[in-house]
Amino acid sequence: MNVDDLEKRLFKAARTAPMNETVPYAFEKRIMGRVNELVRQDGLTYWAAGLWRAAVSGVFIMLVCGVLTMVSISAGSETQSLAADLEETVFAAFDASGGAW
Amino acid sequence: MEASDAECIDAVLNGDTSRFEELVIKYQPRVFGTVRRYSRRESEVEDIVQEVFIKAFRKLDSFRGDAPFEHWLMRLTVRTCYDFLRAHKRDREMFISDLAESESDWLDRFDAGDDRAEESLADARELIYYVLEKLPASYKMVIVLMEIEGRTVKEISELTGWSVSLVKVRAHRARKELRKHLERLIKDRKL
Repeated sequence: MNVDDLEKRLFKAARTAPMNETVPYAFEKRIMGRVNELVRQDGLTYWAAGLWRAAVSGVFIMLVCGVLTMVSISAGSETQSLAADLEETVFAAFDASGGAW
Repeated sequence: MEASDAECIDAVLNGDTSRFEELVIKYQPRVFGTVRRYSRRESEVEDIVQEVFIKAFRKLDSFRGDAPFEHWLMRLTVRTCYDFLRAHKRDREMFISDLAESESDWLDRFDAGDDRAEESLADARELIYYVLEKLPASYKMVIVLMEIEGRTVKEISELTGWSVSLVKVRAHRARKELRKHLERLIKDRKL
């Protein structure tokens, strides 16, 4: 059997077939049922999406606040020790002179 | 684009979803016809068509209106069929015993050079769709579009979203794979 010939014959048969455009009874009702369901779900999804967005924003703000607080605490402790160091340096000469001004 | 299509689309986008039914009624025969080229199981066909219209409804706001709505819908149909075929990979093993008696008889008549093989096109059609079912999704897609629907490489590229060179490569490989399957079918019959 010639494969070329067989292939050609099979393609020819497939090409000559008219498109089967039969639609099951009331199929559009089934589609519209699903569409209406989607519209209803979309309303809820809208709120859910809004809540999720708010939750994500809330977590982001919380993280930013946390980081800022950590930075300010560590920066604050540096300032405290710097102040203590400065005070010590300034008063070092006074201490060395035995406090006789 | 026909005025009625534009009106329906505008109405749907403005919240009157019931107008979508007019589009479904108008285009469902064409969508069913196209989908039946890719799937032989009627339950699958219905699921794919439903998926096409649901996608069309969801993506309707992305339809720009610079081409007919039917073209946009057909592109969506072909891509949905491709996604479906990829998601539902078939058993690729081909057995001569899987063929229906009429398909096997057709092969016998063809082998014998019988003229009646020319008459029973329906059996030949079933046979080619059986062999196509055994090909990977992309190969089946390109064979149906190119060899059965007679589309050009450029048209296939637009429909599927593949580049022109990718279509050519896939068409070449698909033909090779199809021939391999046909050769196996012939060999198995002789055993």
